Amino acid sequence: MDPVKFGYWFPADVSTHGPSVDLLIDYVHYLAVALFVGWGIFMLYCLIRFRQRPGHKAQYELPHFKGSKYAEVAVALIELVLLLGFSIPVWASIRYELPRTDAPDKVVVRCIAEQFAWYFWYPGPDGEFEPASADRIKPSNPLGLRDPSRDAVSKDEFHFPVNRPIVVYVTSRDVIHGFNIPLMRVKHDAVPGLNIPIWFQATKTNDEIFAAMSPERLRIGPALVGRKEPYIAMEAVKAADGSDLLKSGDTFVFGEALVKGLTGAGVQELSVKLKFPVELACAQLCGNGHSGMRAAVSIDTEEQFAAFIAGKMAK
Amino acid sequence: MTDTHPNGSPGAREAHGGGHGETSFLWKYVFSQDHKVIGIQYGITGLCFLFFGFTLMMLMRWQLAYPNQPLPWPWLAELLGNIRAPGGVLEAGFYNQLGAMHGTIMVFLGVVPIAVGAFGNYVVPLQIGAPDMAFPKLNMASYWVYFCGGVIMLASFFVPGGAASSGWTSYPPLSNIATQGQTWWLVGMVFLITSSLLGSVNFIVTIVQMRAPGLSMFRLPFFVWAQLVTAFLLLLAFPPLEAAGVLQLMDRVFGTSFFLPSGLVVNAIPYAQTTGYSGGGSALLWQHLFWFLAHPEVYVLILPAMGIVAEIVANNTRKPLWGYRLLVYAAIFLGFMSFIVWAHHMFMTGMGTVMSTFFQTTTMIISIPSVIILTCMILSLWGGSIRFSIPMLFALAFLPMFAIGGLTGLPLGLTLSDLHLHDTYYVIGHFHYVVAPGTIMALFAGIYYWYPKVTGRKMSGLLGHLHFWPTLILMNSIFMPMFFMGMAGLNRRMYDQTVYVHGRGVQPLSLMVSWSAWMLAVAQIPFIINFFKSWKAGEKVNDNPWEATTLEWAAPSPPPHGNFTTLPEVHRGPYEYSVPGQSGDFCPQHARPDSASEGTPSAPPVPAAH
Repeated sequence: MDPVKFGYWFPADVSTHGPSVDLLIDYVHYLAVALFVGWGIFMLYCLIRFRQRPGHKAQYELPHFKGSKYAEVAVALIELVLLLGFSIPVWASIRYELPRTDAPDKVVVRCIAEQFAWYFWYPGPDGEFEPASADRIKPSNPLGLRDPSRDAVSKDEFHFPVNRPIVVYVTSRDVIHGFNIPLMRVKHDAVPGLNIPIWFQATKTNDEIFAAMSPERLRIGPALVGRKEPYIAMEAVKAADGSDLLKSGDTFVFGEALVKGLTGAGVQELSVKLKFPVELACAQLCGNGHSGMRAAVSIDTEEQFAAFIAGKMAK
Repeated sequence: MTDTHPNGSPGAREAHGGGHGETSFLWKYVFSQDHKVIGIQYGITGLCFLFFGFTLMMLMRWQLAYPNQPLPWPWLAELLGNIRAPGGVLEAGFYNQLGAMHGTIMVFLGVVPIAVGAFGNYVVPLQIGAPDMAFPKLNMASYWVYFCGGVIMLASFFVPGGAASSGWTSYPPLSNIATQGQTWWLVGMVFLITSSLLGSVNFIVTIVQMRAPGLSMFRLPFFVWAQLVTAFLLLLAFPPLEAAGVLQLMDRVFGTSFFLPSGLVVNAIPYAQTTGYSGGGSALLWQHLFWFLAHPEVYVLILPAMGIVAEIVANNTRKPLWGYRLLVYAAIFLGFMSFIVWAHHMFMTGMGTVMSTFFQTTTMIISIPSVIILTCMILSLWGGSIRFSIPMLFALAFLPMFAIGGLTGLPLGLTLSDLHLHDTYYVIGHFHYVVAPGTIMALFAGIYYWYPKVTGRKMSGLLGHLHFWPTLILMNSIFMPMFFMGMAGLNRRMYDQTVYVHGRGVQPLSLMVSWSAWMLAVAQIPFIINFFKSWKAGEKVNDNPWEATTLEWAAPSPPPHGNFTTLPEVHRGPYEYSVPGQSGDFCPQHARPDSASEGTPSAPPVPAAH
């Protein structure tokens, strides 16, 4: 599995429900390709056999075609099977059969989208979400919680534990955004005024995905400045004066100084891996910063997740 | 209606004639009430908008292929100015304006005006043997209201903050808090919708009331049926969007909150503090009203195209269409179903299982008539004597292209597979296959096909080939990669897709799309030359150069004011080609039975209304 290899078909999938989504997409495409090839061959055959040429005349009456009727009925039946056998039941199970409220291992998170950031809000040790009010919003308390020290809030970094059902209440406080994790086949609109729960479960941790992915060669240029996602260097780079600019294994963010240093050292491409290879993208046009509205997803082990929450609580 | 005569009241055919005497240039060519002049006005204006909308997209493709790099030509950056392209790099907000206006212009100002306004206006009265539309003044008003809507849309680029930038779908609350351009967009839309409503009423009345004697509904060419169904779609689907547009206008201008829920916080400040809005609205209400129009709109875009293709396929296979009645029933069923599938655009908004089950079921059902129509057209090739004329090439290309567009709608219509593909480039690939290599190819087919009727001259075949082949190949190399980009999970409407690792993975495809798009522009040069040069210098042809059967070919080329020298009478169905036992291979609808074997029109005994 290499989640960075894209461009041919699906990306890798690290969710429990993802395989059924991919399976249906495959089946629908089998049907589509079969129909297209069938039509195509028939059409090409007709174009050659019935081309206008001396001595050839068109037929006014056609032979009675039964095949087309059978084909149409077959298409309708296949669609019925896809609909009743796959789409409706599986959709119902992944969208609406939420983990029971008393399921002991589920994690409940609230996701609040705004132009152009994602907030992930976890209850503190009491298991309760603090009341929030827009009037209390300030930089140190971005969600306007009554007592911000009692809950954990993470901006643009979404942590959750592996192999446990995660319930996310998705909403927005300004315009419509789209909560989308392509590698997990998770997508839902974040609509202001609605607070809709979705759920999913991951099958692999961030560390496993990181180890499986191959490095990517990133083109160095001014466009990288200001990107907030952390990378891990897969090669060492020395600056023009001989000092270490990056060591292999370094975690770094593309700042202005670093990009300048890399450019100064004549580096055009750099071998890196994303520290958090699973990405959360905004799927609905939400304004000028839409394409930059990205959050990192970290699928943690239990220990990592506990440490993450503890770290956020300590702040 | 008490009058059960299939051709309506005889008075309807004559009563309109009053407005046909004007001769001054202004009244003849500018404020014309002649359906043919109005059709040409629609056609030329629509083609200009089509090219303009294409230009917007070519600009966007630069940013998508070479993110954050300055435009290749300094003069272009200078033309756009420092606000739109600071340092020559397209600004993100301007990119969004280009996106929103590309969609709006292509759909509402380009394709629909050509498919309905131009072809419908020009061809329908001729094909039904009528001297003009039922309401010539309404027809003129429809064009000029459309024209005003277009001017408003174009002008919006120059207002502070630029044009609308919330996508052609204009979802609130984004569109509510957007700059002034959105207000202009809404006003422009009200004009365009009004124009469509005026046009659709006119089409329905004309087709129902003004058919030539003997032209029963099931003798109508399929193109007329397609236009009739389209007119009903426009008439019934547009009013909800017009209402929604006015509501959004109220929200923006008068501080109402039809689409604004309570408790919005914009830029970390409660929205009520800055604007005093009351809240209590629903952001999703707009989506329902919008898609209630915009899904039937898809069929407004595709039905006239199918109509054009049907005419050309019948004419160039030299045999009747296979399953004419089936085609008609399928088109009517398609039109009806198109009103109850709209929420499949909204599967990711959190609708309940009952709703999503209903809408994915209706969506699967609506695929059946589309499959039937396509199958009928392809089966029509069997047993033909196929002429590969330029219009036929475009019409034939339409069939597989529309097939790809239609088939890729299936995974989007099922909620489960839509989960991964919704809002990705897959969607863009899907609907562009329907509208660009689909409908636009059919529109080109129609232009090449009816050009001799409009001008009395044929377009050049060599330039036609130079236009067709590159266009077909490039359309595919633009839209096919989009399916793979969407499969990779890349979302649409991204200013810079290389922000994402899954976007960087498919960036080479993005380059391919951009270069294909720019080359597609070059491939249109033969068409533009052909279009203008043939007007005066094309090969002169007779009134029926394609040896076709339908009534428009009974009129002189170009048809005079009032269309027919003698109003035709209809004796048979629309596609009587290669009738056994007859000498010619076509038998025009108006040819009298006794003289039909010669394949020549005979003068009907009834004098014309004029």
